[in-house]
Amino acid sequence: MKRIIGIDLGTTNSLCATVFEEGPEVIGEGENAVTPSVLSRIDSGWLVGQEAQKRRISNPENTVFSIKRLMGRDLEELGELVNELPYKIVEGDRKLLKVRIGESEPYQDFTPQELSAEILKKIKQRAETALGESVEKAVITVPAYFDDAQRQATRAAAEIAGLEVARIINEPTAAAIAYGLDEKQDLQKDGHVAVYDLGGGTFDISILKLSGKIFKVVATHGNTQLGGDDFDQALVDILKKRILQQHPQAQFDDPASKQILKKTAESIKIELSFSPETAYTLDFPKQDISFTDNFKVEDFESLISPLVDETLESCRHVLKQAKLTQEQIDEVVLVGGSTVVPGVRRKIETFFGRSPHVAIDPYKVVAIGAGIQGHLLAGGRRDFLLLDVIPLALGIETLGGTFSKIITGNTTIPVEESETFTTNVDDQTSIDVNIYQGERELIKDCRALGQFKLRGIPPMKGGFPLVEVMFRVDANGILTVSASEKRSGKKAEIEVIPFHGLTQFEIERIMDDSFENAIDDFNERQLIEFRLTAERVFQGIEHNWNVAESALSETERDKIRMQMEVVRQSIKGQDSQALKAQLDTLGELTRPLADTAMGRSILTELQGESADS
Amino acid sequence: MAYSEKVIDHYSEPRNVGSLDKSDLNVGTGLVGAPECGDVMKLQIKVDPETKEIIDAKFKTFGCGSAIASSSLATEWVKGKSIDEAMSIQNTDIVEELSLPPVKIHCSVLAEDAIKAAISDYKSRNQD
Amino acid sequence: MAFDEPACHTCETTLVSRLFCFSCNALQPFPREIDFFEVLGFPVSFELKSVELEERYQQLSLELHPDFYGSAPEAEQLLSETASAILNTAYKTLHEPTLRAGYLLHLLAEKQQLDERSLPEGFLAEMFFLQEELDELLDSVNSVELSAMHDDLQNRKIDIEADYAPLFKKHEDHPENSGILQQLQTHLNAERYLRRLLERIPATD
Repeated sequence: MKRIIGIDLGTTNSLCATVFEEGPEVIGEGENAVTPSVLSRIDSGWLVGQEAQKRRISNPENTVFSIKRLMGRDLEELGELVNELPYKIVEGDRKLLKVRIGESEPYQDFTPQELSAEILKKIKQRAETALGESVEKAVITVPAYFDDAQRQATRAAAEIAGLEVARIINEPTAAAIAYGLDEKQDLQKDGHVAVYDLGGGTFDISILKLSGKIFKVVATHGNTQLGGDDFDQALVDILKKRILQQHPQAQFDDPASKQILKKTAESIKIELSFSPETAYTLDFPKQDISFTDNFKVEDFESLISPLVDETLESCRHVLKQAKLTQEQIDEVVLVGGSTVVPGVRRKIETFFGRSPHVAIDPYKVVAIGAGIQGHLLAGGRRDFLLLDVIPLALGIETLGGTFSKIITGNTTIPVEESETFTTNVDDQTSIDVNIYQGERELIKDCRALGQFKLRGIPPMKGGFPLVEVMFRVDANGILTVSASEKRSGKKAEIEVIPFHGLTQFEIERIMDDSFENAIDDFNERQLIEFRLTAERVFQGIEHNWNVAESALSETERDKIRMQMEVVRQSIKGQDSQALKAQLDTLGELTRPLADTAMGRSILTELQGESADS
Repeated sequence: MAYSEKVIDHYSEPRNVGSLDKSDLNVGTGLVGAPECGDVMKLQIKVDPETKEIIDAKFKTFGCGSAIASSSLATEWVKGKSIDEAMSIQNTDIVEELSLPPVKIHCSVLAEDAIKAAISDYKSRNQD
Repeated sequence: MAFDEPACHTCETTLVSRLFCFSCNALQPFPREIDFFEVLGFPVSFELKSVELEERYQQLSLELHPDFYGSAPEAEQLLSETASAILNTAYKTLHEPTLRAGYLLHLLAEKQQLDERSLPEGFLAEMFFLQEELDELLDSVNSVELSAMHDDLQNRKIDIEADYAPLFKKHEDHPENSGILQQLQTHLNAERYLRRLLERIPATD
């Protein structure tokens, strides 16, 4: 049985899980379990995760985060976010977004799909190291309210990363599986469960009906542009105001200042989850500004209150769709890092009139559910089934910009619906149809997914051909379209042009490029990582040299000094494996110091790297 | 597919919305409905008693955009036509003019039925 | 409908559902014109216990869903996908009484020439009048009268729905009487106009 891992590809953090003999658990331990969804450009490669996170302040314009908010979107839809982010975003053909790296020409542009792929590659590598086996297939989670374009973008990212997507499942549903199948949780196994999922950049509310082995999603609602990031932004806006009162000349538009503000906001938010008040200091060395102040939890809560109310509005909506009242919800499950905020939790509790389940780490629960689903898909268990829905109606553009639904929202998937089209004029051999997704009446309020062209219709009198178009939404919630002309029995050709996504051709081109560069990339990436390790090892040795002087003999110290010189030479070279070997030797030489502070920190650095690569 | 300006116009600014005096002997009223979707449409024509030409037409439709556009177009077309000419308007003409997709063809049928109903109402009231 | 005791294509056991054989656990190839009652394995009748329907749907989902065919040959994967799709549609249709009535009438009336647009006498004019009245109420934001209108329409809809079961029963006893089916058609048509009006009234919390 080939393992299928579960991946929670998050706005802020990503992690993966699988079912071990002892049960489902996140893969990796401590820092190695979580990969911050951050990338930083170095030379011609990317640093991903913790390494990239460290460069957010020092190298803001080359460090990219919150990529998930860009997936399958266009510039107009991002709105204010474009100005808030410290990195540059441009729009290419078919409204495809690209992150632009570089101060001047020639720029390097990357699609969100490619960037997400880098995160997935990192997770794949980490999982392979931790499991000691190759990983080829994964279940990847997405917000339930992700539309077709966003799902397609996620799938394309996986494809670029060399991962086969066994299934795309919705985050709240994954969480429900994790809770529902965990015997330790006293969750009612028959009844209605509300899963409230507030992550870094997205919000979902799903109502599930649990009965026996079946987890059936009844209704889902959400907002793919609302999350903890918005709490941070609200804080950033307040921080700016406070600083301006004391330093009216302050400027915040440069990437470094944006990153400093964002990071401070993040830590204030975290601090206020545990204490009623927190002090903070903001340093803008270039502007010679240092600002210190306090933030009270009441102020924070009233700041985020309108955002939380927006999520409760969604909860009301989803209950209406499910034809249920608050009282009929038997259980409430909280998912996502932002539900840790006490102000959020209190409001949910009041709304549903019951205390929510939080026993499974809200950061891990989605990955764990995905891991369980992966286990099921790999044939490991058959004792439960997840029946999910398509979140938003799918349909086509009709007269005057109106939206005509073909598959309604909250329909259980997989689902198929067919629609018959015909020609308007004699001998017409092709028909163009625009596909949209949404719940509103006018296409301008819905999302354009793409256009398909029906070709190869046999020439007939206008209105005579009967072209049956089949809209099929698979168990991943992804749409495919096929067509045939019924009078002639001829299969019509269909070409789908995605509006916010990559065509198969583009995906393959990116993959070819990355394959050609794969070996170089790998060496380069390793070089970068080992160089950074060496730097930190040197720092550790220098800071603790006094310990070495008392604990080691003159000869031992000389050996260490000489080896440091060898490593310095290797750093200038291009051979990552040689550098690794020299670093290992340095590690050996400092081993006698293992029980001293210096030895421990050096060893941790070295072990951290080797577990990672 | 891009809709022509004219078509979008019938949708966003439908012509001839309103009512004619039902009791006027020269007015014929057609009331039809589409059970597929629950749309209701009232279409009225005013006929010149001398020339038997349709000199005015009004409609009121409770339904989707396509039904409204279809009735708007139908009222535009019947004006100036004789009742016999108006009788020959086919729903397929409306489908073609408005590029109605298959899911909305019944809207054009509704408009055709409304014209016929209005004419037959007029005729039944002016038999002598 | 060909419903002459279909048998499993591998073990020849009589099938409950045309999609799956519970005795040898084999997916069944099925014809495209399969009806929803055959999908779920119930006799063609309006009488359907919702508990039984729910149970059968779950039972079949647990066998047909693509999640269980991840490592199966591609043809089987595809069959499971199509079978699950039709199962979902069949369940959705038969689960909701109005949809079930409409679907069943469509099956029964295949050989008969029904007037598909029939309505009670004067009904259309009344609907037009109510639509105009609703326009006025919506403009004046008169919530008291709006909710009174809502309740009135809702009750009429419920009354219509209550008639489906006895009418279908009557048809089963007198299949030669095509007037009964016509009456059902009239009911279904009328209900759609009422629904349309109800949809326009904003929900009040």
